[in-house]
Amino acid sequence: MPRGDSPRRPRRTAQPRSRTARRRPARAKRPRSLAWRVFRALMLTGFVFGLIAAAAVAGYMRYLDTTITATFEGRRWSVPAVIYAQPLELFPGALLSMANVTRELNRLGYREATGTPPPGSYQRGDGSLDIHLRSFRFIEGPRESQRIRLRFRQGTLVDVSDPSGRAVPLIRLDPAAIGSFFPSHGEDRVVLAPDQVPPLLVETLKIIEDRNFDQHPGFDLAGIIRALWVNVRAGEIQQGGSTLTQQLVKSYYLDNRRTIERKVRELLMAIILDARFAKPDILNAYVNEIFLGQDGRRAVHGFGLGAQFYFNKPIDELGADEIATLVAVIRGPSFYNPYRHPERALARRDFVLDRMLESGLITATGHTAAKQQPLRVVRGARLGGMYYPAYMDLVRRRLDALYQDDDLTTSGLQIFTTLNPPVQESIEQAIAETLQDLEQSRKLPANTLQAAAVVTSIQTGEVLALAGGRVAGFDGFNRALNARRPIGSLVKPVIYLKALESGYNLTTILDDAPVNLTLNRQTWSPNNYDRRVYGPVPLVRALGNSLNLATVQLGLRLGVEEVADRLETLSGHRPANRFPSLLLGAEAMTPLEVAGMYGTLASGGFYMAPKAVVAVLDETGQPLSRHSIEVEQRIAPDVASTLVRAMEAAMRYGTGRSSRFARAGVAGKTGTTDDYRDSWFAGFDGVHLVVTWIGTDDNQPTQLSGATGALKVWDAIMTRLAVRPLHHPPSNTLRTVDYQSGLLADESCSEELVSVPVPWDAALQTHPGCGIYDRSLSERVREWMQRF
Amino acid sequence: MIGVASVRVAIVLVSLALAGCAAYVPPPVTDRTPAPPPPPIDETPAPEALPPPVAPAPPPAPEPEPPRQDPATLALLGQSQRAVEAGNVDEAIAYVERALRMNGQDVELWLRLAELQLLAARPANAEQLAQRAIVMAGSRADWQRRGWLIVADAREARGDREEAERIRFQWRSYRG
Repeated sequence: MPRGDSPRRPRRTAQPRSRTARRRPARAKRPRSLAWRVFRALMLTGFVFGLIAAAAVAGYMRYLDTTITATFEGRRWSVPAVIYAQPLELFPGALLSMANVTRELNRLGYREATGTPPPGSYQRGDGSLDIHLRSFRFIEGPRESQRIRLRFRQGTLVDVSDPSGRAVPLIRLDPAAIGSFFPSHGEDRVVLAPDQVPPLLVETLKIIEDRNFDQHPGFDLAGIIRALWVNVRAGEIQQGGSTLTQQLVKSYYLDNRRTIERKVRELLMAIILDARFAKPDILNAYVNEIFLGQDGRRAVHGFGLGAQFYFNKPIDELGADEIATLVAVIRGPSFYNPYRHPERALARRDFVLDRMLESGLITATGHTAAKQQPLRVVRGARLGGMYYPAYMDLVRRRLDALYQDDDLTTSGLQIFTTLNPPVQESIEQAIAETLQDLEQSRKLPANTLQAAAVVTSIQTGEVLALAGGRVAGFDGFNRALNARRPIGSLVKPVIYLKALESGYNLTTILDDAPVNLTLNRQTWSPNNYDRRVYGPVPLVRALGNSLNLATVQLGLRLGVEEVADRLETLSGHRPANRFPSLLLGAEAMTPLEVAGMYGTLASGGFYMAPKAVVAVLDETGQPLSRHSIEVEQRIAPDVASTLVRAMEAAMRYGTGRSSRFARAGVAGKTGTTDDYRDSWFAGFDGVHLVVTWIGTDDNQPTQLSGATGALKVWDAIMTRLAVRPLHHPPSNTLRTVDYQSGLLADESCSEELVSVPVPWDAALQTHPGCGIYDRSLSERVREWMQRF
Repeated sequence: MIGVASVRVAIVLVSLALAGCAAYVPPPVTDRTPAPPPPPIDETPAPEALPPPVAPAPPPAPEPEPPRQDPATLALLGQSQRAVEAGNVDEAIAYVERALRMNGQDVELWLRLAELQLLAARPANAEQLAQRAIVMAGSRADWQRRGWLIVADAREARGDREEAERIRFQWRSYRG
């Protein structure tokens, strides 16, 4: 019991001396004897040493005081910024099944209940769902908790109403909290204010961990003795002697070495804390600090996060049995780990429940009911699934540009982001499954491939989901933001855009002919993917089939510098490569930059920087910043639309034709780099732009082309998102041509027809074997007019 | 109703006069002062050197404006309007953006967003948003007009009064 030792130590050392002092005069009456002089010298020396010791102790105490006070104050006021995902919008007509909504509710920790469900619960009926929404402070202000009823028919939400039966046009679930910024990396908190801590938890903590908390001065001798007695009687450690204050200090410094010095320091700090701060403050700090378990690499500290981690609920929704479980775990989060040692955890929980009954915290009925409950800890929907480190990197990067680091970690901000959890889940699953399939089918060693993916909204430019690697929730190298890899043929649309802007159209014939360029005495002779030479090909097919030779010929004519500049205006990325190899994508970009570039094409020519943060509120709910949609036109709309049509043809007949959505009205482009080191795909439908990449971290060949690798991931993602065909602005210059030849054709003579915009005065040849003739100028004028 | 039909005719005639333009919305991109669309009415020069147009069959009774927006969008627009009236334009923008997240194809939402950005004294972004709405508007002349008038206001707010007046003049007689 080293706690009691140290204060007594000075007294013990003093006692023998005083005894000697009393005896000596009695034995030798003669003053100034040798003995007396020795005694006096000893006294003096002792006094001097005592003074020095006292000064040292005072200095040490002062040091401890400064340290512990700074730590306590620092932690107490560190209310981290909380980051929220996009909330799910509920409105009549939404394509949501009851399963979709309950899944989202479970993600938020809503639970199924019967009777009149309390906030944070729902009740399933026949085709209907009653939800008692929690209160939440949104960007536009607080929403009180309220009840709603949803009715579903055939996978659609058909009706939303309030308890009185009135129709509700629109309401949203509370958004999922996806993380927080806290100073030390790897730590995460759900910080609770004193009034958010359930009184039952506070009282239970006291009776189990520290009965005399309200009276003792930071340490508790009686508690130590009692704990000793209880443990000896029980033959096992049931109670500890450390006060909550001591445990708090211990937790601050997370040092498990059992040295006397550490124990003494802990004790002194506890006494100082107790003297300096009010009991409720100390208790609140304890509630937010104590270690409750380990979630992979992440330590679970505090009851707020603990409630989420073990029960996926906010703390105020915990039942007595769940509170008892949390309190039970404190003693040894690994020994009483409810997942690994449920029987131990359950026994300890029941022990806690018994003490709660004894102390009158719960009624006998409550006690019986609580004891009948199983542990009720949840897996599946745990924080693991709610933890999106790759996306959080993006949020942090965006915020770093706006705020001082201190603001983000200390002032309790609410940060609303564009993350869409169902979409995020889709891409994580799609990547995991597809990579495993690819490795198996290609006989690659397991886990050799890596991947990244970005999903944005083509309308708003918002990043809905982001995967930085194949393992979801793994906070490692973020390939979506940081892996710069050559983009290969993903660059080609830029060259064809430049061509369209220079007077070419999709039927213009290009020459797919060998190229031999000598630069710095080195000859550059690129090849087509299949090493064939195609000769004259229409522009739409040169892009669609990703013909290298035709593209290089075209790019050289347009000018490499011009192409490089155009790439910059589309993506915001300035290419370092200003040589002809740029024309084949020898330029490294990150998947996020690629998303910015293709977003400009997908949105009809309007650049939007991929956006993650919608708004930031301060602790009082006032907006500190809002980030509304900003667009900037960078491509003429008709040119953008023409290019998108060409990329649609690429899906239908070109390099994207193996996609299961090849004919579903989507546009896309494959990218493959030398020796199959990088496999890229960028494609979009009417709603989502998805960029995928597969490669290895050490840049080894993968055997995968854009079509056989990244496109598979893209397909798997789009399958989960449900494809909505592209919407083209009306055009009165469309002509139907044969994809292979670029000549006018119809169903009778070609199986690969594409509708392409062609300048209205361009006269087109007819595909051989087609009995159609190009219309005369007057016919074209008349036809064109009839569109109005 | 008559307005819509006559505008269609007018557009055809004017377009003929400008035969050469493929689409009647010139795409302003690199140009700092984009040319507004051809004037929709007034100057209706008879086309020359071109075969007389077959009178375009008057379109079937101009379709009555369908109540195009769903209750959710209308609710958000209502809240947005109330925010404007309460003097909180940024909040009004947030409501419209929320509606756009649900239905990004809704041209009127983009127009509204552009108008609100103008109200929030961000004319550059307002103009770009209006341009985007104009592209999405396709053949809807009423939306085009509304978009161009936002562009005009944005131009004026940025000090380009001349261009603003030019755009307004070209759209002045059209009543959508």
